[in-house]
Amino acid sequence: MEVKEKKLNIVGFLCNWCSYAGADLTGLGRNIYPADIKIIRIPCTGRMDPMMVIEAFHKGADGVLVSGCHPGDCHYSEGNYYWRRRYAHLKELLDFFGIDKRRFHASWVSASEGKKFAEVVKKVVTETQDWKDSNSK
Amino acid sequence: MEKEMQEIAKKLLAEKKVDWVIGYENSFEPGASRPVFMNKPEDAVKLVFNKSCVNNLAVYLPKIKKQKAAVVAKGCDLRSVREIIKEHQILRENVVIIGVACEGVESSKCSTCTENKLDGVDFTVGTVKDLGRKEDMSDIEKFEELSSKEKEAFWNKEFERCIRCYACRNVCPVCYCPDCFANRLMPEYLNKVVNTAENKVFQQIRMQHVFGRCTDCRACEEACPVGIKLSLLTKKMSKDAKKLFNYESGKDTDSRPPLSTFKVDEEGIAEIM
Repeated sequence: MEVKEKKLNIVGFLCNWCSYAGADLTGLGRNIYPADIKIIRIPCTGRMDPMMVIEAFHKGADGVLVSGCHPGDCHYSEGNYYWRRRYAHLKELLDFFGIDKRRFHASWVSASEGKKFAEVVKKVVTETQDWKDSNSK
Repeated sequence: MEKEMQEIAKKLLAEKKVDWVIGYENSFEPGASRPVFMNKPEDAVKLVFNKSCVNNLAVYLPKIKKQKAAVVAKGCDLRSVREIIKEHQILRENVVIIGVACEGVESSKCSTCTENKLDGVDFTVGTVKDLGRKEDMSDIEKFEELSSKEKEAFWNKEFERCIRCYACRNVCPVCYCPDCFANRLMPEYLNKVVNTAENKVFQQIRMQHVFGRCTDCRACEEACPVGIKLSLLTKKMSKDAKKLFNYESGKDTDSRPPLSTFKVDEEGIAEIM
């Protein structure tokens, strides 16, 4: 994939135990992924306060990605299950407020899935770009 | 009906079963009513119940934690009372619920009310009739079909008027946090400046906070001095809670709120990569 110029502002909240290590591995494995994402490390997706997502959009983020351990693999046993519920309703609520569903994503990326992380970021960037193009019309 | 209610209140206060009775009294404005707090049996004659008794009196319950109170509750308010008990803001033994058989007050919710049943109250005033009204979600479904741009434009227009008086928060029975995020300075999630963007963020966060606890009682919409259509949001949330988690707030006092519990096997609720 050819590296394009950074255009979007995407905030990535990654869990310390899986996705953050996964993102690290993406770099180690020299997988190329878009540079539009800014990564913030959180202890667990269970710590992910929906207020932080709302705040990110308010401060001008084009997209938000929250990524954590696969269900059942959470370092704290159950944090990501709580996040899954919060994500389900928050996505609906933000869509109702006019924040398009294409701007808000969640994924499960484990520490060994460096390739998958690159794929996820590519998908998030494509969808967010898609929204941006359709919105500016 | 009013006589019956006054008798109950008088008896409760005279026998010192409760410290306070929270109900409605006539306001100085003809045809209007307002909440009243009584601690003397002779005050009980003040109690009234008519079409203007719109307020949700459950909002006062979390504030009288240490004392006992009797509260006059319509079917819709009863859901809020149950929700407050469920979240341990007041103990069930500290509250006496006087359920009123309501046939609708001057509120937008009443035409689609299915909540006038009074299960689990201590006293019932009047007889509960089946009103034969049906829930109507057509406006929500219509709004959901709009494009994001149209939705955003609609809410921008609404929240442009907001003066951030926080009336919606103050009348909300489930907004009982002693330290609200809107007043907090560290971290400052919300700027104190009143503008469309900040107003919208305030309501987004507030709505997210009351998700799963909001009983769609419409107290916020009625309190709003500039008439922002908050019922759209509260209705949407009760719809989501039902659809995603099969949960209806305020139906009982012992189930777990949807966001404080989970099931291991519920892959289908959200699309996660």
